[in-house]
Amino acid sequence: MARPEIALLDAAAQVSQQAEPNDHVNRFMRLALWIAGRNRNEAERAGIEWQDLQGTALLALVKASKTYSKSKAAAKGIPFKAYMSTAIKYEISDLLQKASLAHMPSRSVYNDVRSLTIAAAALQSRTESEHVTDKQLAEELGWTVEKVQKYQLYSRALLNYKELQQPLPGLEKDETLGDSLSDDTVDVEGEAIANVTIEAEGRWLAQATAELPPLARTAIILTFGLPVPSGVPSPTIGDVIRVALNQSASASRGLRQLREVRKNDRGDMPELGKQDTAVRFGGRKSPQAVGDEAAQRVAIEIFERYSSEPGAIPALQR
Amino acid sequence: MPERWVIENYHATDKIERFLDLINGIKLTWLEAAVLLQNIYQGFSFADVADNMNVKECQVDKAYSSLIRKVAMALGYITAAGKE
Repeated sequence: MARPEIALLDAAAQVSQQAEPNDHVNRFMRLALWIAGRNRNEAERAGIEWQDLQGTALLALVKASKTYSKSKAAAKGIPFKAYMSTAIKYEISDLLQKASLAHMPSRSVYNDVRSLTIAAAALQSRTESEHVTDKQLAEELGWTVEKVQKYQLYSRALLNYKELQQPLPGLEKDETLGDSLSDDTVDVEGEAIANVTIEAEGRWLAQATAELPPLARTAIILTFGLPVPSGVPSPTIGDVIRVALNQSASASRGLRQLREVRKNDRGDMPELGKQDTAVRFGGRKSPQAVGDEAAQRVAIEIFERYSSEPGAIPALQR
Repeated sequence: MPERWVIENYHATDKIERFLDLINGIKLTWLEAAVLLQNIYQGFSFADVADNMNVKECQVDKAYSSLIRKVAMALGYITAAGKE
C-alpha cells in the first residue's frame, strides 16, 4: 500500500480531472499539493512532516477559494490559480518561519536575532569588508560582546530553516543558499526496495554457499565477508591456515561453483568468459603482512628462536 | 634433492608440525578467522577488515584480542583465567 502522502496525491489527481470548472478547491487540489511537495525538503529540515505541509497547503487553498471572489485580485482579473499559489506559498513560508521560531526561547529573542542578522549585513555592506567582528556588532547594536556571541549561536540555529530562502553575499544575485546546496532527497521507496533486494541476495548466497565444499565455503565467506549461514560450524585455525595457503585456488573454485549454481537457479549470471579468478588485493597489503616474503623470513626466525629455547613455548615441552 | 632436504630438515618440520598440532584445532568465530586471514596474514588494516566483514572497527579489535588470547592459552602462556 502506498504511503498516505502519495495516496493523497493520486486521489487529488483524479479529483482534479473530474472537477467542475467553478469548483476551485477540487480543481486545484493537485497543484496545491505540488507546491507543498516543492517545499518538502526544506520543511523536513525544519522538522515539519510532509503530511502537515500538505494539510497547510490544502487549508490555504480552501481559504483562498473563499476569499477570492471578494478580493482585489478578482477585481483586477487575476486568475484564481495565481491568487491561490501566492496564498499557499505565503502560508508555507509562514509555517517555516514559525517552525524556526519554535527553536527560540522567546519571540523577543527571535526578534533580536533578526536585528542582529540585519545589522551584520548592513555593517558589512557599509564597511565593504568580508568579516564583521563581534566587537563592531556589539557597538552597532549597543549590546555586550557576550550577548552578540550568544545570539550568533541562535542565529546559526535559524540558518537551516530561514536563511536558505535569503540571498547570500558572494553568490549570484538571484541565488540563495538553498539553491547552492544540493538537496539530499530521501528516496524512501528506493531504499526499501534496495534493502529487500540485498536481503534476498543474502539469503540466496547463504543457501548457495552452504552447498559448496567446506574449504571453498570458508574461503568465500572469509574473503568476501558474506553473511554466515546458520548451522555452519565455526572455522578452526587449521582451516584458516589452509585457506590462507591455498586461498586463490579455494576461492576461485568456490566462485566457479557459485556461478554455476547461480546460472541454474536464476539464469541471471552472465557468461564471464575466461578470466583470472584468483583473489587478489593488489596494492593494499602492508609490509607487515605474514604473506609477504620478508615478513615470512622474520616469522621463521622468531619461531626458530622461540622454539629452540627450552620452555619458550610451554605447551611444546609437554 | 627433495629426499635429502626432507631428511636434513626433519627436526624443523617436526617442530612445526607439533606447533601446528597445538593451534590447528582452536575454534574461532568467523570474525576472528577473518582477522587471522585478512589482518595477520594479508596485512589489511582493522578498518579494511571491518569494512569487508560489515562490522564495526571496535568489534575487529575485540576479535583480534580474543584470537591472541585463544592462541596464548593453547601455547600455555596463560591460563583460562587470563593470568600468566
